[in-house]
Amino acid sequence: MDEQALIASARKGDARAFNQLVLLYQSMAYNVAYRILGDPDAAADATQDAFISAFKAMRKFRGGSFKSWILRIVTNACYDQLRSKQRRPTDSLDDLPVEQDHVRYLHDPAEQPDEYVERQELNQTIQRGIEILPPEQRVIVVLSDVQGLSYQEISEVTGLSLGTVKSRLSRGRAKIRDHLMQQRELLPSRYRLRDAG
Amino acid sequence: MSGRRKENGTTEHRYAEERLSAYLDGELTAQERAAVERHVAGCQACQWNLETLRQTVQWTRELPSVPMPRVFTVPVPAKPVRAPRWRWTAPVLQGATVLAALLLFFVVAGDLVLTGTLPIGVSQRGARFEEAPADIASQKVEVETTRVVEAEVSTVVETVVVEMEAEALPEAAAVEATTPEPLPSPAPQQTLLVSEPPQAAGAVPTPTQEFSALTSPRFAVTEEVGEAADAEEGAEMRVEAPAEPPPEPIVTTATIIVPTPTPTPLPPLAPSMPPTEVSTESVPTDVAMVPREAPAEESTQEWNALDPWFGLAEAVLLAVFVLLLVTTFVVVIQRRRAR
Repeated sequence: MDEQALIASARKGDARAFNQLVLLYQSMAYNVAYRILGDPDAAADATQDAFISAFKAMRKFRGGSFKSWILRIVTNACYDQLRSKQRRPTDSLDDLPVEQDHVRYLHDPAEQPDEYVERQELNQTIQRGIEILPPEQRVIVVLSDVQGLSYQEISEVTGLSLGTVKSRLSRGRAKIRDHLMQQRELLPSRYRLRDAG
Repeated sequence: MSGRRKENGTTEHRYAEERLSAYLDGELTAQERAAVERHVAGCQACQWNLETLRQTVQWTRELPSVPMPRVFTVPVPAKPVRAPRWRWTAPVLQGATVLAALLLFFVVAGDLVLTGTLPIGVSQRGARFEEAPADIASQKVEVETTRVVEAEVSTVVETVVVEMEAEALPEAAAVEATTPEPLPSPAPQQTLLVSEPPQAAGAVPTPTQEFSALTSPRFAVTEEVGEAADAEEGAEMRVEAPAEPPPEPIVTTATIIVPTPTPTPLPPLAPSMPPTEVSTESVPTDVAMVPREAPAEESTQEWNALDPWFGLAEAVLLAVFVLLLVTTFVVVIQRRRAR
C-alpha cells in the first residue's frame, strides 16, 4: 500500500495504516527531536506525543507534504517539552550522550579509530552549540542543516516567512561557528576553524 | 567622501554579511549573489566569515543519525468503533436463549407430569385419557371416595356409649341419628360401626361392634354432627326404638359403613379421622361417587380444552429457542473474530 493509500486509510481512523506511516517517518521525527532537545528521553517523549497527536488530528490533514505536516507536529511537541522542562544548555561533557553518535558513525569503514574519536568530539561540540541557541533559531538550524529541508519547506513547517527563515538561520549558524571558535583549542587540529587573524 | 565610502562599505559589508548564509544555500537572487560576490572578493572579514560558515554548516550536516530507543507506533484500539453500540447484543441474546430454554423445559415438564407421557399429538392424548384402563379409573375413584368419606368424617365427632343388649332385637335396626341431612339407605339391615372418638389419636379403634336397635332406655347413643371444634366435647347418638316395625334406618353419610362378615381390624388412623373401611361395592355410589365424578369429568374436559394450547406453546417455544440459540452463536462468533 503506497503512502497516499495509507494516509487515506489513516484519515478514516485506521490505526494500523497510520502505524505504517509511523514506521516511515519515526526515524526522522526522533532525530529532529533529539537534536532540538539534546536528550534521548525527552526526544522519545516528544516523538511519541507527536505521533499520538498526529493520529488524532489525521482528519485535519488536507493533503500536501505529509513530511512537513509531521515535522510541524514534532517541533510543536519539542516546544512543549522545552517549556515544561525549562531546559538550559550545559557545557558539561558528561551530559552529552556519546553512544548514539557512535553507532551510526562506526558504520563508516574508511574511518580510523582515532579519527572516529576526534569526530565524536566535534559532534559533541556542535550539539552543544545547537543547544545554546534560542529555540526559534535552534529549530530552523536543525530543520535546515540536520534534516536538510529547503527554505520553502522550513517556511511550511514553521509557518514563518522566507525572510524570517533566512535571518534566523543566518544568526543560528553564526552562533554555532562562534561556539566552535571558542572551543577550538579543545578540538582536534583538523577540526579547528581558521583563526580570523 | 571618505565617510560615505566607509559608510557605503559598511552598508555593503553588512548587506553581504547578512546574505552569506543564504549565499551558501543558493537562495539569493542573481542580483544579490553578484553583490555579495563583489564584496567578498574585496573583504577579508567576509571571506573568513564565509569560509567558517561553510565549514560549520558542512560539519552540522554530517552529524550522524541517532538510533531510536523504541518504536513509536500508536496503540491500536481493541474494539471497532461501532462496537459500543452492539456491546449488549450478545449478553441479551444469551439471556433470552436461556429464558426460552427454561420456559420450554417447564412447559414440557408440566405436560409430562399431567399426562404421565411424553407430549405427542393432541388427539392421541385425549383418546388415551378416555381409554384409561378400568382398573386405573376404579382405583382413582376408590381413592377419591375414601378421601371424601374421610374428609366428611373429620367434621363429625361422635362419642358413642354402647351397652350391648343380649336380647334379640329386630333385625332392622332402628337407629335414628339426629343429623342435619338424613339420607335414605337401601339396605334394611344396617349396622353402625362404632369407633372411638377422635381424641384417641393413634390408638387402634375397637373392633366393629354389631348391635341392633335398642329399646332399653339405658342405651343412649347420641350422634351429633358438628364442627371439628366440637370434637372434644364428644357426641351422643340418640336412638329410638320404634314400637312399630322399624322404619328404614336412617344413615349418615359419614358413619354408615358396609357390614363386614367378620370383624376386620382397622388400620391406624390420623387423629382427625375415624377408621373407615370402604368397599366400592356397598358404598352408596350416589353418595360417594357423585361428588367426585363431576370433578373427574370436569378435569377431563378441562384437560382436553387445554391440550391443544400446550402443544402450541411447546412448538412455539421450541422454535423461539432454536432461533435464539442460532442467533446467539452467530453473534458470539462474529465478535470473537472482530477481536
